[in-house]
This record gives sequence, C-alpha cells and structure tokens, in this order.
Amino acid sequence: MFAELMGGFAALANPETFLYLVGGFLMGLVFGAIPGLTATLAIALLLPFTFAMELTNALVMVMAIFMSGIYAGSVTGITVNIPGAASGAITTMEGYALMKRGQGAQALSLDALASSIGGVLGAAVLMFVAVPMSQFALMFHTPDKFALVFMAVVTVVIVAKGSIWKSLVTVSLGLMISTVGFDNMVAQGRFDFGSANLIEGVQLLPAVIGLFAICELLLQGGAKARTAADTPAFRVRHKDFWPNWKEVREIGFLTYLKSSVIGVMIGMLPGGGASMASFVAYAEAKRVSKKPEEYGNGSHEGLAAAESANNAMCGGAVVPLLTLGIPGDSVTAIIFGVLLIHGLVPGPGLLTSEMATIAPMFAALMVAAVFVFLSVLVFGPYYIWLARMNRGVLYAFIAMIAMVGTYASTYSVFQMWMALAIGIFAWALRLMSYPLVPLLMGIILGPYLELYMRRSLITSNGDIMTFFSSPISIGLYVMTLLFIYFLRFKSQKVS
Amino acid sequence: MKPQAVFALLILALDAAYLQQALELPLPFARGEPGPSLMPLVLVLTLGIGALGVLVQELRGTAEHEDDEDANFSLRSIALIGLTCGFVWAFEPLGYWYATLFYAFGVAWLFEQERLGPARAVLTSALISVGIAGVGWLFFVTLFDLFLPEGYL
Repeated sequence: MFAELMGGFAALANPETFLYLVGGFLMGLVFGAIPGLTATLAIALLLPFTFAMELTNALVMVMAIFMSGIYAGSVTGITVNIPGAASGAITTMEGYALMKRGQGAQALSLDALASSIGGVLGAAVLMFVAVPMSQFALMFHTPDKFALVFMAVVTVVIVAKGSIWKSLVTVSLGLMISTVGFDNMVAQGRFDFGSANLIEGVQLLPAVIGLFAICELLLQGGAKARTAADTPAFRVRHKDFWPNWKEVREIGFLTYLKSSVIGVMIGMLPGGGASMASFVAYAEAKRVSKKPEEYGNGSHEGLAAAESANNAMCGGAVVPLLTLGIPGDSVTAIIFGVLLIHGLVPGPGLLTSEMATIAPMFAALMVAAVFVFLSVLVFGPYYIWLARMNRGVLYAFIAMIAMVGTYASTYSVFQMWMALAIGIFAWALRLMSYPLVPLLMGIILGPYLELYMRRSLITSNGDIMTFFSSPISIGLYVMTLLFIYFLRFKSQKVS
Repeated sequence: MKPQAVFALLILALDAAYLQQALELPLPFARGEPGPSLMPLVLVLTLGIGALGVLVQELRGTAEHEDDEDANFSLRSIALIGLTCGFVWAFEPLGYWYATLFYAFGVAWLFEQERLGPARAVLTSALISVGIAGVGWLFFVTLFDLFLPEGYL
C-alpha cells in the first residue's frame, strides 16, 4: 500500500499531470475567491472537460480545485469583508477585523499557513485511514449497503440549513428525478412520457450544471452590484505575506492540530462540510483560549483554528466517498460524478482494487495544501483584483461555459434544455428558501438506494426483516438515530 | 395566501402527477418482486409528508424563514432565462460563433447596463462577447478537441 501511495506522488512528477494540478489549483483560487463562485461550481464546470481527460489528470485537477477553492473562500472575506464561500464566514469575521487594523497582509498570511497545515494533516489522514476503512467496508452485504445509503439520505435531510420539511421535499424531488428513465432491474421505462431522450434518464452533468451554474446565474440576475467593486485598492508588497513566526508560536501547534482533527472528523460525516468544521473548531479554540476577549475582534488564534479546520475537512470528506460511496457534500457529490464518468464506482472495494489509480488523488490533495501557503506569497497582492472582477465578464463567461460545456460533453441540445429546466426549477426552489444540496444528493444516491432496497427484498422473498438482519445494518440504523439526535435536536437545544 | 404555502401546494400537485404516473407501472410484488413502482410510491409519500409539513407550518404561522439575501426575484433573471432559451434554440441552426456572440452579448449587457448605462454598455458588452466566444472556442475546440456546431442556416 505504501508503495502505491508513493506512486501517487510519482504520478505528479509527470509534467502534464503537474500542469493539471497547477491549473486546477489556480482555477480553485479564482472560483473560491470570487464572491458568488465556489469550488463546487468550478468542479461542476470542469465536469464536461473531464470526459476528454485522462482519469489521473481529471482526479488531480479536481482535488487541487477542492483544496484551493475551500481556502480561497476566505481571501475576499479578509480583504473586502465578503467571503467567497460560506466556509470563509468565521475567517471573515476575524480577518476583516485585522484588515481594518492595517494587518490585512498578516491576516492573509496566517490564513494561508493555517489552511496549509490543516490541508496537509487532512490529506495524511485520508492516506492512512482510507484503506483500513475500505477493507472494513468490504464486509458490507446488500442490506448493509442499503442501511448506509439510507443513513446518508437521512443525514443530508437533517444537516441541511433551515426547515427540515423543506430538506425532505428537496431530497425527495432529487430521488424522484433519479427514477426517470429506464428501470435498472426490469425492462420498463418510467416517467419518460414516450420521449426517446427522457428514457435515458436525467444525466448527472446537466443536473449539476443546472443546480449550480444556471441557478447561480439567475440568482445573480436578482442581486445588486457588489459593494466590493467600490472598495479602494489595498496596496501591499509580496514580502508582507511572509508569516510572523512569533505570532505562529503564540497560536501554538496544538491549536492547528486540534482544529485539523476536528475538521477531518466533521468532514467524514455526511453533510458535515467546511462551514460546520470551521465553526466547531473556532468554538473549541475560543473555549480553551487564554485570550477569549480577542475573538470577534481580530483574533489570530480564532482565524487559524477556523482555517485549519475547513481545509482539513477536504481530506475527511473524501474518506466516506471513496470507502463507502457516500458523498458528504456537494463538492464530493460532483467528485463522485467524475469517478462515475470514468467508470469507477466509489464504495467498498474501490481502494483495494484501484489504489494505484486513486493514489495520485491523495498526493494531489497534499501537494495542493502546500501550494496554498506558497500561493499567498506569490498572489497575495493580486487577490483584491479578483474580488473586483467585472460582473458582465464573469456571468457571461459562466453562462457560456455552462451551456456550451453541456453540449460539448453530450452532443445533445436536449441535455442543454434539461440543464436549463433544472436550473430554473432550482432557482424557484432557492427563491422559496429550499436547500439545493439535498436535491443533488437525491439525484446521486437515488439509484443506489433503490437498487439495494430491491435486491435485498428479492433475495429475502420480500421479508422486510432482512434490513435488520446483520449487526452492521443495525449499527448503521443506530448511528442514523444518533445523527438525528445530535445534529437536529441536540444542536437546536445548544443554539 | 402566502407564497410559501402556494409553492407547497404546487409541490403537492407535482406529487399527485407523479403518483398518477407511478400507478401506471406494475404494482409492487404483483410479479413476485418489488418492481419498478415500489420506490416511486415510497417517494410520493415522503414528498407529500414534506410538502404538507411546509404547508401546515405556513398556515399556522410557525415557519421560520432563513434570510437568503442572494435570492431575489428580478426581471433581469427572467431576461436571462429568455436569453438562455434563445441560445439553446439557436445553437445548432446558427452555430457556436453566432449563437455565443449574441448570448454572451446579451448576458454581459444585462449586467453592464447597471454600471455603465444602457447605451455605453453596448460597446463594452460587444467586446466582452467577442472575447468570451474566442476563449470558449479555444477551450473546447483547440485545447480539448471537442466538436461544436458550425450552423446550417
């Protein structure tokens, strides 16, 4: 196994693969830093291109986008008080306070260092925990796999922001969309209305483009121009972005380590996500801090804790995806799609049979985490320019890439209509404050939920008790109940 | 009636239409196995419960609404939908270049006119659309060797 993991790093030495890593990293930086754009959107837009890429290059590029996109979400938060992504919200609170005190470059530097440390630790955990977990996953029988996917669906509903009823509606809608087309067990078309296009089902690509790119375009149509564009330029030099090691020592390695561990653990939970990771790590750092009064007013410690955690989450989030086939959030859900497009089915058995193929993905995550720190030294002064990008250029570009990308990857105008229809539907849901991530999860997990449910019932001659016949499935149902308690009821009591 | 309640009713109507289609499939266990309608029927139930939950909360006035400052209805969004429909409709007949030039111009103008005013935004949007169409061709055709239509009109 160790040799295969090292082989992953060796694959990055290939100049072409390395260029994809650097390209993905830069793309993630741009998308993560621009308010309104996210790592999710970057990977969604990359999806059509992955058809034409070698699998290794596609995986390396996706992981680089993931790592840099999560980090860059905090960049515009620190500089202009607008986080590029929700995960940068805590960093924004502390970082912008430092910015107002004239310590913007130092805040960006601490931010990058913390992201790097968290990212490297998260990737290391992924490398050494994923394989043992995947061997355990091989013990899963069909009813256990059903219990697992069921747990993921339930968790997606309970962790979504806002009303649980709305989450139930959107996850059900996603699952319903997944039932359109040819039945995967008997020769029967479903919900196709006699259309030759619909009988193929709703493909993942137009769904992702519709949910994230078209929907975002329509939402931006309703948003006023960002105030960031009116913010005066922030003039700094490259050397200002070198960290002040005295401050780093004051923060302490334990803060970085503990926050990273929290990030990895939350990343492993389906639906956990970077925002939850940064918030929990920040709360824990404040709980044990000697200077809790600084929190909210420009605390170096708080900034470092939040950033370490949200980048460590990247490694953690990939663990359940690769070992159990559960995408924990929207980014890993799209990575799921990239793997499927290239014929790899995430889940039990993937890492034991395809370790050599997957290893470059792990290596890319770790190298991208190191790049995060290097990037602030190079690009620090230019980050402000990204936040001030012209909206006409930005959204015309997104619209073109989304629609033409759908055509280029499917050669079907029908799929362009499908992406647009899903985008309009998603926009209507967002206007009514319905969460979209459960919808995507439903589309992705639906076929597996149905397949395992029907297979289990067929092999047991319709006996429903087959779902509770093994210790693994019972354990998973108990975990589902615990998730419901801790993530819904307990957290409501705390808040 | 509140918009949220009306939307929940629309979801319930969608649920009823899905149920009607699901009932046209063989019933579960009619042929001795779960069959293609089992999952859809379960989903009719879960969607119905979810939509009813939203509806009841809205009618009782107990619903809590998250502030989503990005989610606002606007005529510009409707114009963007119209532009995108036109683009998809014209993509193959006009070909990539003409369709993309018009589409990118339209989208850029909708955002630029807010900053520059309707007349001054025309030139800027034209330049943006040429740049974007060129970059798109470079990405899809030159770099990734993918096919894009050249038009037949």
